[in-house]
Amino acid sequence: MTVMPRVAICLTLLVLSASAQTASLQAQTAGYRIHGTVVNAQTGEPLPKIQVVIGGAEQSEATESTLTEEAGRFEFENLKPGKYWLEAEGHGFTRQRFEQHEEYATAVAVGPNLEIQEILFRAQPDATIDGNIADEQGEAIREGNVMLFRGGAHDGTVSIQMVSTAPIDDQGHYRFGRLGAGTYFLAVLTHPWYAQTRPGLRSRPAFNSRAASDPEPDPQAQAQFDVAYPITYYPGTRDPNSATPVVVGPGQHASADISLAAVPAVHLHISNAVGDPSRGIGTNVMERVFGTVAMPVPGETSDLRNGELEISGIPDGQFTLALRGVGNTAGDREKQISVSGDAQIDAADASPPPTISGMVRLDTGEPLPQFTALRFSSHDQEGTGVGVNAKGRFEFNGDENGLPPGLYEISVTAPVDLLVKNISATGARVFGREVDISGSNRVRLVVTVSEGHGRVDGRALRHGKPVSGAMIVLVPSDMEHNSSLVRRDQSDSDGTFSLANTLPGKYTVVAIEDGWGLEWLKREVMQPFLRDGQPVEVTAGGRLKITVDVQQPLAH
Amino acid sequence: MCPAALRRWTTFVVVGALASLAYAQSASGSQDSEAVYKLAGSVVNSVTGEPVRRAVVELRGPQRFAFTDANGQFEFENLPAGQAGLRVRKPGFFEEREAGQGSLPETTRIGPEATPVVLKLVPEGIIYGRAQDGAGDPIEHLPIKVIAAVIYRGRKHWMERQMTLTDDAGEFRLANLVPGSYYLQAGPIWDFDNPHGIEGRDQSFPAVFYPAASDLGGAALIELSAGQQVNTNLILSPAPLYKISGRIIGGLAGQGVNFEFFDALGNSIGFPVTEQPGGRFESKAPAGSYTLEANTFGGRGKQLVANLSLNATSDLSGLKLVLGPVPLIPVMVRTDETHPSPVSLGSRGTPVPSVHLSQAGVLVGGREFWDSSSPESSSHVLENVLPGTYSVEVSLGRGGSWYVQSVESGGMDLLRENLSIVSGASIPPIEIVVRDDAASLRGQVAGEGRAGGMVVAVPEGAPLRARSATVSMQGEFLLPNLAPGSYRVLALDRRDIEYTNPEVLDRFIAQASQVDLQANDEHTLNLELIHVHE
Repeated sequence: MTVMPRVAICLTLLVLSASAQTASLQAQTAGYRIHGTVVNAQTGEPLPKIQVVIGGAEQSEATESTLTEEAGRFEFENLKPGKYWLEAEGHGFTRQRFEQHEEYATAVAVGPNLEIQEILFRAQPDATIDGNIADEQGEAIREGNVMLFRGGAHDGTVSIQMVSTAPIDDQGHYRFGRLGAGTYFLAVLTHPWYAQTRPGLRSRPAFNSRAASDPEPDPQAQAQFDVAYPITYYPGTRDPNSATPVVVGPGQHASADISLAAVPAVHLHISNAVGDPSRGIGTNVMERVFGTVAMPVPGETSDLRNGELEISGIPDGQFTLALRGVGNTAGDREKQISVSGDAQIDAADASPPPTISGMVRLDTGEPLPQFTALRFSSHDQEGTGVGVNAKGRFEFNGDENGLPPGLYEISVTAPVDLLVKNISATGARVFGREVDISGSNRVRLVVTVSEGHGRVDGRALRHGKPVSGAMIVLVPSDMEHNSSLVRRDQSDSDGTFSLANTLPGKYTVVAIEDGWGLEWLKREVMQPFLRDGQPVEVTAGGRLKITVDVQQPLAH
Repeated sequence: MCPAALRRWTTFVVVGALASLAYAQSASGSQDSEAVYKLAGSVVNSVTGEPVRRAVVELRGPQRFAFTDANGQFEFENLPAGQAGLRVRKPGFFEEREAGQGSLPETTRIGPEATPVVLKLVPEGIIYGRAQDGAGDPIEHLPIKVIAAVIYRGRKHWMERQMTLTDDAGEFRLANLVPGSYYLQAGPIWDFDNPHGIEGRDQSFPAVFYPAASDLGGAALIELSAGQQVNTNLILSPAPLYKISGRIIGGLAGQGVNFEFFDALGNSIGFPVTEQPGGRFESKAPAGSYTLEANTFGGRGKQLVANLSLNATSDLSGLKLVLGPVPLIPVMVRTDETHPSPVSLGSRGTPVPSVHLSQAGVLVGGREFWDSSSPESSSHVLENVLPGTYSVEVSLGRGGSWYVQSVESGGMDLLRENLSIVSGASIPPIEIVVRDDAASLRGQVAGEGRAGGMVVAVPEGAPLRARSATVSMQGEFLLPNLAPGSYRVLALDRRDIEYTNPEVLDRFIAQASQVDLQANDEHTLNLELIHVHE
């Protein structure tokens, strides 16, 4: 089953009979039981004091919880037949589901004719990443934040997403705990403590009258103070494409020290910053980290009170200059700037931040189901989901939501299968299901959707017996060019799985036990499994039921 | 010479002169007013005496910056002669003035005879540690606060200085602390969403004050000296959350009520309170002492308030919050004129005292109220004073010879006792008597480092009415508008002394001068500066 609610789960109640005959004594007493032991997945030792929580497979709310005792055991009784998800959490074990892999987990099915298994919940211990931030002289940096990003692949798209931030302490130390195994990236945002900005290009004369009699100070000596730190990626580069990933397995600890190098600060003079100069101007210089989230860059701004601004103490780079009339949010404007040195910038052509708004309609004219959302994804990042209200309307600010100008594929997520049928737009160009959103425009979209998805439900078997926890992959016939068509699931305790939201086409369904380490996005990796997979043809609105033979990962 | 040639020659001379000035680097000893000098010095750790490398020294007048080198040395060149200010910074250190040591900023002479300057940096204090529960497991996301005393106008106020949260290993670290005395508070956390807990109830961690007290009264002060790192480990025991419920009485039907919990230190704590039909309310809190306040609007937009002190040691039910109008306290001022004011230009009318109530007994923060008064009317009011206990301060503007002789309410002397305001009860007016035969005290302070210090005059038997004045650069002081009476007067070289506290004063009282001031006395007194060593 899939854990993340944004990919809708529609599970059928089990009606399939298992091959093994069991005398289900429980069925005669009140309800069924799920019981087992929580152990450390790495060491095997049983874990006491773990909170185990259970909920019905179709619900996200827990119905019951318990604490494991000394031997790590837990038990839930009086359960109605059905599928349940199990979740465990404790010190050193971040919240995780039973046999969780990425966003998939195994649900436990109980009911007549099902083997009541003793659950062995192998909980993966937390990974941690910590390290020290230092400057080019080796001195610890004491202020600022470290941002943690996680790299992953979701349904065919590789993405980097921000996970959390941690402050840098007085020893230059940061720490991220409670991490799941995975591939991470780190970025540091901070400002040199000793930075002093030199007077701007057109600043007012110094208050200090002594300055008039000051023989020219040594410019070189003062330049070493007029510096800034660019956003720096582990281990110490300005270029996000050269960022080194930090890979941690379960329970592992990785140390990642980052070294910052100061660069000369840049001074900007902004003219035509605001329409009404008598009001103040609020301003932010924003930089995208890994091309996703926009962070404000530390620096100093002087409002020259004549509609002009001076910005100093920022590094060179590409930024979004955001201007706000104080007390007048309707006057927010933005401009993309690229600065390599001191510069004059005319903000007359700054335009309102890109807003993307519009409507989603069902082709039948009926109201949309609740919790419908639009998803904007591009080939190099996860993109964003946007909620659609009851009337089908949506609106959001692209920059605030990590959606820089670019080309995006639009898809719909909803509790029922919906397929994007047609898009019309003003302020952007449409290519089939893709939309080119360039900045500084107000984009209006009308997205027509239909219930055109298909679904494949099935059971993963080996020699006729159900296999739980296997990775199920729906492989399209031309995987290389259609990676966004790939769907995955994990088989539950009774072997069942469900591949939802599948677009019509020809596929092969493959079930691989212990396949979670495979690079399933690569055609050459999946190729050897296709022969023993199950071919299917998905039609719009069609529902298929299949069985698939479980394969073993190939020996290396 | 022909005029053209003269002009050219003049130009050449002027340019030449400027050129020679620009390169006059080694002009020390020159009589030329454009001579330049160097200023050199070093920065040292005030505790160890070791040099501090890579500190930033800022020169003011002209403004320059320089790093200290590996030996803590710095140098500025090309400076015109004169006085300049010097400041020094480095993360992990404080300037002496910031750390409460020393009073005035450094200035130094730049010129031919300048000697190297030594600047001191005071290293920070650090408090670090780990929080765990009784079983030895770390407690995550536990708020940790340090509370420090701040002395302002002779009174000690406890203020929250820094706050942090423990990480997933239960560890915390608070750096950048000025040397001083601190209390450490851990928690509370109340995890309302945690369905699993103690005895089947929701789990919480009540606040603990280092080392293991449930309130500030039993807490130990952590004495943090410069450069010291103190390890404080805390053990907190989880405790059940208690249900707190009761009824609101006197509210308007259909009108929502705002509830707010305050802890014993006067901080607002966000325990959620749910209102139920029939005026009932419900909340949950960990063990501890709190004040629950409610406010709403009654008929004609009037504000209604109620408050209740509670000590949660078990479930509390049947509580009654009785709403009543916000008390209005009339303030009446009587002026006793002993001599009629001369009818001449520049005479002042009767002064308007301003009344200030500050919440007594609350250690950190606390509420304050000032009266609203119009200059024209002779009576004014204190509005919207929420129930509580307050100490009363009445101040007069400067000028003339007025002083506050007495402040009373319902027969209570508010200059010595606190004012207690209970919701629902009416409060007698505050009567202030102001007289115009004040005395004053002035004089000279002798002693090294007197500039920036203070002179304190403590009336006999009334330490809370002590007054202070700053000593000028020339050593002079002036304390006007003093009530006639007997005073002990002393001069201290620091302003952060809690002089309203008799225990603190006792350290210096032997060196104080005794003065008896009569009405209209203008007394002159010379004092020896007392050096306070901390």
